[in-house]
Amino acid sequence: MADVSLRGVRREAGGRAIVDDLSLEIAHGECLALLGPSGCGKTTLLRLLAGFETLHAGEIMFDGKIVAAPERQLAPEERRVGMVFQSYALWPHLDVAGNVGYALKVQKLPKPEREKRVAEALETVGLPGFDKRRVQSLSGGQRQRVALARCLAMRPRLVLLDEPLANLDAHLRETMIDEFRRFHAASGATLIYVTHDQAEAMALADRIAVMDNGRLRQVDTPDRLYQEPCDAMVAQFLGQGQLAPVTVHGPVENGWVDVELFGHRTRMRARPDCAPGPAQACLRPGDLVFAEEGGASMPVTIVSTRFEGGSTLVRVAPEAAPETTLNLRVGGRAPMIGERRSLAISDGWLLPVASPG
Amino acid sequence: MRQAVATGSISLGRRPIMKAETLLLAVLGLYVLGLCVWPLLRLLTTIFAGGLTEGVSFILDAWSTPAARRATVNTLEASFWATILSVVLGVAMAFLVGLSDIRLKPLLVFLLLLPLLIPPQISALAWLAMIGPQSPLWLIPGLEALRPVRNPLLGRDGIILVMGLEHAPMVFLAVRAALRGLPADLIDAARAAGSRPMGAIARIVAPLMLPALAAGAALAFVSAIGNFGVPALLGIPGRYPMLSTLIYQRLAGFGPTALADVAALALILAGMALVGIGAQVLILRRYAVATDRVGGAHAGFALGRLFWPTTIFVWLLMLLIAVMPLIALTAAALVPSVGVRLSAETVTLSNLIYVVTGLGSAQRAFANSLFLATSAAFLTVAVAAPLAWLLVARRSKMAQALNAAADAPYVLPGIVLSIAMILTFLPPVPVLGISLYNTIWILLIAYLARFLALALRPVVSAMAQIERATEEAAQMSGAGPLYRLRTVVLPMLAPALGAGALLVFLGAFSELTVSALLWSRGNETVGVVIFSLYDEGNSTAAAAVSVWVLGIVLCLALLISLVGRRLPDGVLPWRM
Repeated sequence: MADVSLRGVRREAGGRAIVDDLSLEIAHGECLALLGPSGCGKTTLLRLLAGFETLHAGEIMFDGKIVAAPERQLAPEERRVGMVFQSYALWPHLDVAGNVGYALKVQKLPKPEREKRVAEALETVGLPGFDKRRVQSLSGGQRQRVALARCLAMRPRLVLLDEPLANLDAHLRETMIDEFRRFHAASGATLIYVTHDQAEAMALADRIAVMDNGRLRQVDTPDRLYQEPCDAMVAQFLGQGQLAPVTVHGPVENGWVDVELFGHRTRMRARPDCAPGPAQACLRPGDLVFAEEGGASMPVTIVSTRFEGGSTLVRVAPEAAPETTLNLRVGGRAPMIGERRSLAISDGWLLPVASPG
Repeated sequence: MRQAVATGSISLGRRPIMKAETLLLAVLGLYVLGLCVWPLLRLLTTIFAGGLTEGVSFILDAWSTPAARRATVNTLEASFWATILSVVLGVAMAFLVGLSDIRLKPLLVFLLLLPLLIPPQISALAWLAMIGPQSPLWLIPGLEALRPVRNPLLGRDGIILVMGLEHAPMVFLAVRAALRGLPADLIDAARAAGSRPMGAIARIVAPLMLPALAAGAALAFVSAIGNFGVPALLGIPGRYPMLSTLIYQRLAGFGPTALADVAALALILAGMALVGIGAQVLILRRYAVATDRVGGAHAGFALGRLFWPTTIFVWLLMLLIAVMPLIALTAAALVPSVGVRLSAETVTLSNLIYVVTGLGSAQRAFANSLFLATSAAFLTVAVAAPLAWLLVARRSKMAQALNAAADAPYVLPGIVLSIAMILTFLPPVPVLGISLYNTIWILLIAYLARFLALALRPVVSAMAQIERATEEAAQMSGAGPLYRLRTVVLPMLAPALGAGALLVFLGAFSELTVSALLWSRGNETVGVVIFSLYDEGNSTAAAAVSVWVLGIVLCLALLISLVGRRLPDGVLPWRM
């Protein structure tokens, strides 16, 4: 177990900052997901933690001890950090036991002890008795389990996972997410999990750190991240958030405030310091529903529909602002294109930081 | 938040493992510099000891003799025409194998690439046996009248023919590799735009193949000017001197007193080779079009009506240039003595038995070559493996430079290397106080220098294909550099190391060019003995030794190819 702390970490490549002035505290035994679009620097950050990349500014500390600073780096092999790779990175010339017990051999653990820990680790990942199997004879899911067992057996203080499910099919991914949760519970290690898949991150992590362009945008629990995104990037990246311009009227009371959206008065959630005037709202497709005409509803025109199996994604244009569109999901019969309907807004969140422009 | 940087205790500073890596690099550096760089520098300093102008005038003096001029002109002439032949054969076969539906491609490629396995002097000997008056070819009814009195291969035309065939694989491999990398989509797109197959080949494929063709041609040219085996067997008796044979004859005739003179000639030869190598590098860098291949290579066009005519022609050609010479060579080894015609009454195994049981020089040569080739194979691979690791996995700039330096003794003509070796190791070795010249050790040193690149290429390319994460995973398990090298990298490299060792063995076992100047009595090598026996007029015994070499070489090649199925791409120079 370890707590990890990054302070002002910066790494450049080709004159561009890949990771830029990044600071983050991760607690003992926490599972943190690093989430972001591809190229956002999350894998580089992971490799900085592992020690495969050198940083150009800032410092990284494990348990209050510096492991990386610009002038001095602790070699990866001295960091006592486990890593699970996207490609599994199992050694083809060793059998399953050879792979799982490798770190223990490095530590010169006596053979009986080694065998015991290999067996335990294989038991934990649900592969008991696989120790003499050849790596090549295993399926993708089994290989990933062996990679997990390898990590488990070395009892690392920190485990880094680099998109470990990217090479698995959708069905297996579900099973492996449960596997990772058990792994987290069994090892008690601090977990840092890189992914671009928000569902994975939401299902696994205690907290999610959303990265974009080498910087952290928001670090929060999955629930808060979904409910209260801090800016437009986070709002749009997670949970299909859509942005709409609103005008705030009056003060925030119990977390809610009166706003005007396309000429329509409604209530949305906001931070207590939200000031009256123009602002930006994040609306989830689930926040919008068709309603009876009149009263508190907003007249819209159906622009397009897309059947998605269980529901239909409907794109509508408010009559007050025909050039903007909003998405919502409806069950049952899909409306006709061009049809006029009324929209009720059940929820919404005012972004604390409005996007420029 | 940067102000917080100063806090936190520094737990760094202990890095003894880095030192092991640095030490490894230093040892490898000394090895490569000492074997591959220092002798060549020694060659340069011998000529340019008195300054640049003095050196240049010395080279010009050496060049101004009629013999040297004639040799230079001959070298350029024969190499030029041989290169043309290599290009025609290599390109035609590459297009046929890469773009047509001709059958039995692997066997066709194997026959075409045979010269890579068979040393030049044996090829020359085989061609002499096939065209010469004693050839079994003239036993075929109807061909009897064609029997020549004197062997027509002795002289320029023979050299051009044999060298041209000998170096065709280089052009073939270069173009074949480029064809393999060519996306089938490009051809399909041309066809969809209305091109006929020949039109697509002429307008799309051929222009894209030009850089590879030119690079292959440059390589064939460099090999031709450096070739010693073919000019030695065909040119010396044919009175067609080339630079390599002139250097050899001067040094063999006058001994070390002629060293300064031949060093100047060697530099001229090296200069010509460097122009060719420079051209090759420049062409590939400047003009090679990087086509990123998505999807497979082209499956090949149907030859249609031309299928059978092409098939018959190609197989007859292969029979003539690849199979017949070897049959003739074997036949030449099966007659009791030179001049006897092969028939049911005269056929005998006595020569084959005699050269391994009764002929002292041949017996010594087999033992020496076996020792030299085995030692060179093991030592070279032992150096190549850690060097490739430092180069690829550790991204060491120094290892990169060493890798490039190791190329020099391999791409430069062998005769240049052997002059450099004599210049370096004729004076007594500083501490030991003995000269390595006239011992077997100078041969071993020369082989180690010559063949390091041969082992490095497959090992580096296999190393580059090992997924980085496999070593990183070991690093995360706490394994230091040397421990990782031993437990993860080397086991995964093992097949490539084996292939590299076999390639070095194949190259060293029948080596002639470097050995011709470095051997001494008691320290003969197989290549040298074949040449000497032939030189003495005992071509039957020369053929018998060659048949043994062929047997060993082909068995080993078969072995590599069997192992080859499990090798990563690019490890074997030939791939079927």
